[in-house]
Amino acid sequence: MGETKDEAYEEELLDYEEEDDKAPDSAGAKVNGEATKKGYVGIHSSGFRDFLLKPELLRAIVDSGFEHPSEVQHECIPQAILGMDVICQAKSGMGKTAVFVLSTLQQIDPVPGQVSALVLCHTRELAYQICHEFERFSTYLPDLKVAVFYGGVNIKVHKDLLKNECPHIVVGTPGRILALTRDKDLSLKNVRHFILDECDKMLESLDMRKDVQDIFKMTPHDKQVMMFSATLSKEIRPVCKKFMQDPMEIYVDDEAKLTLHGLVQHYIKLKEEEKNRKLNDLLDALDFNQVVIFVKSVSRAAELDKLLVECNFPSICIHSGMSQEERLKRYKGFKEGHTRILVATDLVGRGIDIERVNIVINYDMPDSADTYLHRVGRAGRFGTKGLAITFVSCSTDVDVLNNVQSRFEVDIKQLPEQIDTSTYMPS
Amino acid sequence: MEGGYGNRGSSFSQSRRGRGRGRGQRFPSNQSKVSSFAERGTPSSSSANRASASVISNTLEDDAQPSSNFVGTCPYMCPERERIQREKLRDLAIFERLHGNPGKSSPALAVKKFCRTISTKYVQASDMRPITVLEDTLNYLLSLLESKEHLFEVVHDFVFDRTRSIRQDITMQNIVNKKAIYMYEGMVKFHVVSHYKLWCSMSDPNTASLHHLNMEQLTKTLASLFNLYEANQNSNHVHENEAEFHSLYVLLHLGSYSQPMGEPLSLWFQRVSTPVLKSKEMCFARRILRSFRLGNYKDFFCTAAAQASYLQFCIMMPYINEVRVLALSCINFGGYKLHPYPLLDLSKLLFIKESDLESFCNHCGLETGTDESGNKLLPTKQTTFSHPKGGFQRYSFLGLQEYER
Repeated sequence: MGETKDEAYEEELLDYEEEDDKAPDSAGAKVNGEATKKGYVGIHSSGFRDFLLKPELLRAIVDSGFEHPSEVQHECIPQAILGMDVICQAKSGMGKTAVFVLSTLQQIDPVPGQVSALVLCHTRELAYQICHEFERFSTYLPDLKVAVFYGGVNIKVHKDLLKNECPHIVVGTPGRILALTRDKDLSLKNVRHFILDECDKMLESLDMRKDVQDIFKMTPHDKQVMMFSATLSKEIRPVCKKFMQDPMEIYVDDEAKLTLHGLVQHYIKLKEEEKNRKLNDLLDALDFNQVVIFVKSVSRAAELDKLLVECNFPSICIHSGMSQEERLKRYKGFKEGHTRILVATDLVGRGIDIERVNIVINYDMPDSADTYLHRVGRAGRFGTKGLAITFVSCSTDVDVLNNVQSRFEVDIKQLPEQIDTSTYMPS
Repeated sequence: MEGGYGNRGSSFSQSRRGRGRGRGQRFPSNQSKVSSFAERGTPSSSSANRASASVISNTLEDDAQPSSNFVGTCPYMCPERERIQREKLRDLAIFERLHGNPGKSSPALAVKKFCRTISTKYVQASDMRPITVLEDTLNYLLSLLESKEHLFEVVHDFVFDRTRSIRQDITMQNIVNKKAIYMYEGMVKFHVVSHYKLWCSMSDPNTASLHHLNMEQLTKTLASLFNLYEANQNSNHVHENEAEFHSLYVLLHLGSYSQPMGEPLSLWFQRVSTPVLKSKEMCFARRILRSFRLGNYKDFFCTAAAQASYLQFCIMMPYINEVRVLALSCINFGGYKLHPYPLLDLSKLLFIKESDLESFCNHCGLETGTDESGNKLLPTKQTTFSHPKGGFQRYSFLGLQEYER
């Protein structure tokens, strides 16, 4: 009996110790240095239901095929729905958009004629996509209205919409939002949720930062601020925090590690005049669902697209030289799978979410490591597989590639003669 | 107060006896192949007492339940609309190509692909597969794992994505019946076995990525399975495999020292029903975790060799070598310098082949020697001991050799 009692006591005591991360002399304490470098999978047993979201939201989440929160969503949503300011850095495809969409929808109580939430992003395609996500998750919130405003559309259309059918959530680009507020057509005095997606892009450009600051000043002091990006350098983080009050900071897979699981990265050394031939060969040889080819300028995009079409490749291009209507039309067409090859500038290098893209080709080298990360993040998203190939043709290109490798601790190898399709195609 | 202690002691004793009883019976059933497991009918349940859920939980459950159920009508493994579109886009996996044609498939080959941007707003009933079709699809996918024609990584890619789609169809249709439980158990099993097989080739960076992605889906699928157990719980029975699958969750925490915790394990224990918590599988898992954290390598190895099921083995195997390193560290620093440790004795202690052990010691920076009779020895008190950099070579665990294939 005494012995039994001791065992029971030991059981209780040891259970308590299971929480202690500093248990002495345990095998686990000897951390393998290399193991900690890899992205981690937090072991969660909870799901969306445990976040205590509105039933209408849970239903929309189920309808959208979401089974469980991603790591980012796990970390951010519980705090965000309580109104805490959030600054979040996580790689592409880890579910950042759903964080602010769900958090906003959870907290918002639509009042007719009042704009309660404002989401700013730097491209029209991204604005369109975010608006779409809000609509997807607000299926069962019929009173809620979402509108998207961006430049290139006749401003009168937006003014009429604001007058006749004032939305509760506004998604837009800074320039157009600022114009609407200055003309007194859009009132921001009731904004309770202020969100910047791809915030470093907006805040590092002084012109755009000024626009964001001016917009920010027109919103109430008491509001929730949330900022998201895949790249938040040590320099830009303090700038973000100036807009916030004691924010929760989430840096998933610290920016130093470019762990895009499932993405295979290669480069090819060649001369400028060899690029077209090599691109043709790649498109012939590679198995791809959809591919995005990035170039550095509008003229090169148009030129390359024309060349590909002449070589009988089903290609389209999107760049800022096109009208807004044409851009969106092509974007939708590509997204729905009507065409398989997209030639684009960095206009679509951030945030754009097209599920079937499994290959990204940097026909022109990105101008920075950050741009590289955003571009290649178009493939292999959210745990699916992808391939990124970068053309290297001059010493400047070599410098950027070396910068990418050192900055993100990634080893980008030369493209082998025979690449195994199973590394980037779902087999 | 004293009576309380007595009760706890009694429960503990009962658990111990249960542990011993289950030993002989468990090995044969757990040695079955994945496909055999998948081919069984709906598992029967055994009787056991079970704590009822709290009123608050029930209320939340009711609130969380979407009010309408979407029921699929697709009779194929892949909706026809999707198959035609993917043929057009040449988006067909190797296993879906008719006679190897990358642009042609068939209803018997094509399997619905996971799609992350889906919404019932744009989905028709004919795009969704009902539970019977999903069950057939899962059986088909798991049968592919027997394929010798392709590398495991290639098969894993396909099954990984397509089981994800099955889970999506189950989620969107709010299917929570026993058949769903059985299917989820099959999918968890797939990810657990993959966890072990992918770990065996971790030196390849691409496989390391696969291992990471597989772990993600393993934890999510397991969490869904627990939700299904909870949704189907009643006061008089526990599902046949419920205890074992809960034990897998505990064993996954063996890796939690090197990475942030999702949530404290003790909080999770509070939500586990008493019969499951007291089961031999859970007591095994908790004992293993305790031995691991306390550094009791002898108890860790002996308990694992005596009791681990195949699935538990697959989760634990990556950590066997970690414990071996700890054991070597203890023996090296604690041993008596004038009496080198016989490698044969050490190999028995660590459940490793003697020939492998020599290589393992060298990997830890320790030199081995030989005595006059030709017996291999490990001199202790060596100052060159170091934790191995990089991954381990694959070494068998002699207590559970039959599980390695």
